[in-house]
Amino acid sequence: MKNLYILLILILLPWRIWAEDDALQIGYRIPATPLYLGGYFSTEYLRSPHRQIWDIDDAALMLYGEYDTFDLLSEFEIADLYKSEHGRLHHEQFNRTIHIERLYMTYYFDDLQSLRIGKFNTPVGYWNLVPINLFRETTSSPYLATAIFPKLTTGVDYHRTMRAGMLESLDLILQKNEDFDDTYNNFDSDSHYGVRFSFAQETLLWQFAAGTFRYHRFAYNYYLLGAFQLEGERMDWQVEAGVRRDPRRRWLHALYLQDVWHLGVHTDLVVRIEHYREEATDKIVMNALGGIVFRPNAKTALKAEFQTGRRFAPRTLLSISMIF
Amino acid sequence: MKRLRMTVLLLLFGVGSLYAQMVVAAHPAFPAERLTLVQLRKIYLGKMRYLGGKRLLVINLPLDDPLRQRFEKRIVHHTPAWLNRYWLRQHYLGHRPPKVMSSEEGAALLIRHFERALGYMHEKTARTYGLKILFRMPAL
Repeated sequence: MKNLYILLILILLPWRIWAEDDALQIGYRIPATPLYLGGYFSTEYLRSPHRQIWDIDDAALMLYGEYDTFDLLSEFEIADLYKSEHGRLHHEQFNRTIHIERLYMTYYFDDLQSLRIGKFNTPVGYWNLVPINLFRETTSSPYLATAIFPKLTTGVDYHRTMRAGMLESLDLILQKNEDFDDTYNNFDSDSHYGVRFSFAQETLLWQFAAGTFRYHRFAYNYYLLGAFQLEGERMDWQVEAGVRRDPRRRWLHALYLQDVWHLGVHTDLVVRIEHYREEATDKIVMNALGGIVFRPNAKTALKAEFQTGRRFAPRTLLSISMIF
Repeated sequence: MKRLRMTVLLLLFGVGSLYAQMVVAAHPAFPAERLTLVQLRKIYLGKMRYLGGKRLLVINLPLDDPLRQRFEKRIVHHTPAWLNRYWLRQHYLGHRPPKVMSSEEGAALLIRHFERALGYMHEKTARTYGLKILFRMPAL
């Protein structure tokens, strides 16, 4: 199976790396419809002191379109299509179950207001809005992205764009039902109410969000989050900090600071530091990450990173991701 | 005679620079008379997709067109590499980039047929096709 996996990479890699680099020719339009097909793929290799994992992490197909005052998006994904682990445990698995990652429709009332209904990425934080490997600067995600609020919401999002001033938009999030498919959600929530305020001034963006959600029908949580993003010619900064009061009334915090240096047109250097209180162990964890991203074209990313810290086993991650 | 020649030259230079000016133009029935720089930036980044209740049809020129390079640098304020990454993220979010036409004449013709369409071009082209001028690019 490992040979099949390597063969797949060898076939796909040259095709993507040397393909014509024009991001504007993305997706495939289905003739005589306003619908587009697209997708993405990513594969990872993790090495830590006690284990090594090869993983075809994501294989997803998207179908989307815009028509009059409606938008539609659906995304179906197979996570861990192939996984091979060596070390203390030895196992190999092949997964063929297709899950609904996102499925929603957006209705635009007018120039400034819209309502989204379905399953969507919770519009909180910056990391959570584009969570796939290709767009992230690192293969791994910060702890905050999985521990403070539900990554996905199955409900409605009312979005209001402001005409002037630094307040750019407002979002009201409402869920009062079960998730469509809880496979990808970090919390199996059946209730979620949240609000987000987004601000912008030139290339500086910041936002504040607050909310409450429930999982397992009785476990109530409350969260607060602040995020900041600054994009420059040579360097980008991103900071997110959040707290969650869990059902045991503990305040769990998580924050990260990430710098990305643009070394060249195709290469970025990434440094991230994190500080959080881990829910499972109730311990404070600190870690630092250094990584490099090589993008031979806009649709492909090759990444390498090393992460270590206090109460954190050192690990190395390599990945290849592509979008089409 | 010398003064007359000078006046003619000045007039020609003035008219020439007016016609070389870059503008953002739309169909005569477009639901706005003017657009601000901030609005244009939002429109070209897909952050503002409706105006007057109509979905906008935003027109771009090819990647290597000098007008597009000038427009992206001075109005959108981003490099082509940044915009490539940005539109890939938008693709993941289910949004399409502006429609690319091969020439400004092609863009003007398309705009002429769609009330909700807009695009950048030379002022001369906009006037030739009877389009409404929404924005004049500030002089350097």
